[in-house]
Amino acid sequence: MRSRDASFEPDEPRGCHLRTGLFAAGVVILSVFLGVGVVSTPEAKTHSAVQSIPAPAAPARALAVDPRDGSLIKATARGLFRSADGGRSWNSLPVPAPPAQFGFGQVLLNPEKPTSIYAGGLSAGVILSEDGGATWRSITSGLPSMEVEALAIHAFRRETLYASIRGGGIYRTENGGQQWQRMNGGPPNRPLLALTHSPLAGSMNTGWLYAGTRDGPYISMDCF
Amino acid sequence: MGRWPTPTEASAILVDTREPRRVFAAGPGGLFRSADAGRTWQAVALGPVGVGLVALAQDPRRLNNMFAGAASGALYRSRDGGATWHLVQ
Repeated sequence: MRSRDASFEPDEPRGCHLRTGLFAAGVVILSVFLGVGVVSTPEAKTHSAVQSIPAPAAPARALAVDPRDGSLIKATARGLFRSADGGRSWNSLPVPAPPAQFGFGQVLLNPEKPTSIYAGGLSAGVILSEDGGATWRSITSGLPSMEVEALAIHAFRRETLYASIRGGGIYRTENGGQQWQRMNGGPPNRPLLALTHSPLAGSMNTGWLYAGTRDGPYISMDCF
Repeated sequence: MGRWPTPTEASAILVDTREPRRVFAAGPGGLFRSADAGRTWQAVALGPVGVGLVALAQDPRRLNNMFAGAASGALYRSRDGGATWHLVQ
């Protein structure tokens, strides 16, 4: 069994302070710091529904539940699928062809505006549908590449999302994906396999970020 | 973070909307639950031993409804907030 310090590697420190003691012995929590390396990328593009994928039994890489009707959405290597019967059968969502060819590793909904669905993946960037999955557009302005390895939505600030870019660190948008900014380098043992925001008390900002890695979960304050 | 009880990765992490100290994490080593925000973890029995998981989700309407996706393509569902699970597909 191993224990580990829980921290993302700070990068260009500003504003947050070292903090310990949320947990008992063996747990050290470091705050994370603002990084300012913003890299421009092409403008977001609007896509229409262009692809339909036959319903397969593709393994889910990520799952989300639509609060409107409880339907389940999964991200797979073959695209995005929705199930209205609790996962017994699946119908493909018409995601745009360029990212769809790479598959998706993440999917999430804005619980307060559930027609807004975000999906991302390696080589796929981040795409957004604001009509429940009928049409999609790329939202990658500010991201250094399309290599999105993890994606999370803030627990209560629903226009704030976090994206982990393979080899590029953690990025945040506070306007629903219109613009992303680099925050920090993330945990030391890349790649990231999962990213989840928590409203847990004790943060010096609005909450915490859990990161799934090859040797277990890490936690960091979201005080970028 | 507390001691992670498996020598394998954490592929998915879910924070319980009702109680953020309750966290689920999953990976090739199975499903684990923490009641103290990750300080300690307990294994959750989920179908056959050794089910590798890659995805977790919670139903925002019915928070006791949770889903877990396996690398094999299997899908598991819990109706009691993650205490017990059954195979859907």
